[in-house]
Amino acid sequence: MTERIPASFRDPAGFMFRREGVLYRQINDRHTDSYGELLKSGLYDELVRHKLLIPHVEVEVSPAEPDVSSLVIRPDPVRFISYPFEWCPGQLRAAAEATLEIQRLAMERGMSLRDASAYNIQFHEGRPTLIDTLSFEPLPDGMPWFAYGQFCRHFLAPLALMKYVDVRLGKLLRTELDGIPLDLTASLLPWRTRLQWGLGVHLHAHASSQRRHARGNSGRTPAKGRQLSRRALVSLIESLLAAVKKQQWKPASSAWRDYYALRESYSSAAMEGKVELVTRVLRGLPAETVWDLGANTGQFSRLAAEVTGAHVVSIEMDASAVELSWRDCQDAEDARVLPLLNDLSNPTPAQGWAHEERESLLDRGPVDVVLALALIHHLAIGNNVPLPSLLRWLTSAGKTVVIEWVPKEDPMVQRLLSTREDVFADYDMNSFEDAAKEHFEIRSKEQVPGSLRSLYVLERHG
Amino acid sequence: MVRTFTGASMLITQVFGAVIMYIDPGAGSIIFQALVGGVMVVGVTAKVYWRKVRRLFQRHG
Repeated sequence: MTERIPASFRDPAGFMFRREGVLYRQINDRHTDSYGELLKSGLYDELVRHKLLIPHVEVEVSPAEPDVSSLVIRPDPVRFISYPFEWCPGQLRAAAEATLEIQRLAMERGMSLRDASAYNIQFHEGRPTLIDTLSFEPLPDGMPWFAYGQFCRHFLAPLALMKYVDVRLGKLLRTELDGIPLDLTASLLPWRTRLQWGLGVHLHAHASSQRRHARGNSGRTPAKGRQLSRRALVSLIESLLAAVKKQQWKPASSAWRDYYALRESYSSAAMEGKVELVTRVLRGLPAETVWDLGANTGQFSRLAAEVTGAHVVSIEMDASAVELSWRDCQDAEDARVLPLLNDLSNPTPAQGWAHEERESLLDRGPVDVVLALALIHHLAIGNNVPLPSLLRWLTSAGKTVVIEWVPKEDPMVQRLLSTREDVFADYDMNSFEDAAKEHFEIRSKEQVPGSLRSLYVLERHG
Repeated sequence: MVRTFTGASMLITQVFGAVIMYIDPGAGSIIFQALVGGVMVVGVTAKVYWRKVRRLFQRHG
């Protein structure tokens, strides 16, 4: 059976399709020359060598639409598709730098990126990698970079907004799927950013230019005829790169404090006991894919990757924690853990055209093992989610769930209850176990050393 | 120098640019790119020459 990937419909150059579980890309006849040039120019080899482009092989497979194509490639599979609004600022910046580096290398070989969508970048083996092999076209002399506006909307605008206004503005990317409009960006940024060379030019003046030419009545030469020398184009890319490099966001100082406190707590006997228990439990679970829900700075995600060898998506709602986790992964060159921003009380929904362009978080599962440590009280008490509903939700996330039960007497739950009325009469171990048994078999239950908590391994029925 | 000049012209653009509906960002981006690209080449060239001059003095200094 052939199934066309719903997100891949815009590009006339080709599209992705799945056949018998394998993902392929059809290259339409109209794009064959550009694809040939990508290979012939040596750009493909260079980008793959630098791990900037997803490798692929040409395969003898019939195209999904043979009328318009005679060529099919099979790209290396990406373990988990993530979206720019799920990235911390450091990840978005890395993706932006990768995009500009790809464009720079392409220009050296007489080619250019047709688009600069952040969705074309995925974290593959720990690095930002372009997954759209059909993004390249030859660059005739004098041709401007048509993706310039898109690059600014998808990358520079959110980076500047997160750095100069509030990191939460990165979430605007969730509603603005083609990047944050520059007029909106310019109106939100503080006035002083106009005086910064990179932001002043590429965001503020750029936004003004878009406004001026929006109605096409500026009386100037039409955009189509505009020429841009190669030197000017190179300078433009360099200037964008300099601007992107400056958008380094610093996590809140409180996040750093928590981070170091957590690291210190690792040496405590209680934490050592918990690490030992989780290690032992994970060792008995075969897993290729793991989601660590409520991962904080990802200590247990890294442990899970180490113990099981699985690819771990480390999901956390706090941008500072994700940023610190991402930096740790970079420092350790850990390609098996992908830190990701997601609020589980409002996880990524299905979005875009026909609700099919961008998948919801759950659509990208299920995984072999879900790790839910120190999470249940945040959802059940912090967000009033009834235990049966929570357990039902977990069935769609993974086959096996390793979940920590945190009782009411626990100091962290007491802290949550100190600011709200205790309307959680059903929040007890028996109700938890009853809710779990509805959907899972309880495979094991052990006390977490030095605490009132218990660690359960749940196996989904069927 | 180049920076100051462009900075000033940018400010003028921003202050006097009419606020109209956001319709077609494509044309504005391309026209703007041609303009900015040219300015940047001047900037980069000036920087290269400035470095050369400085090196000349450093060598003789």
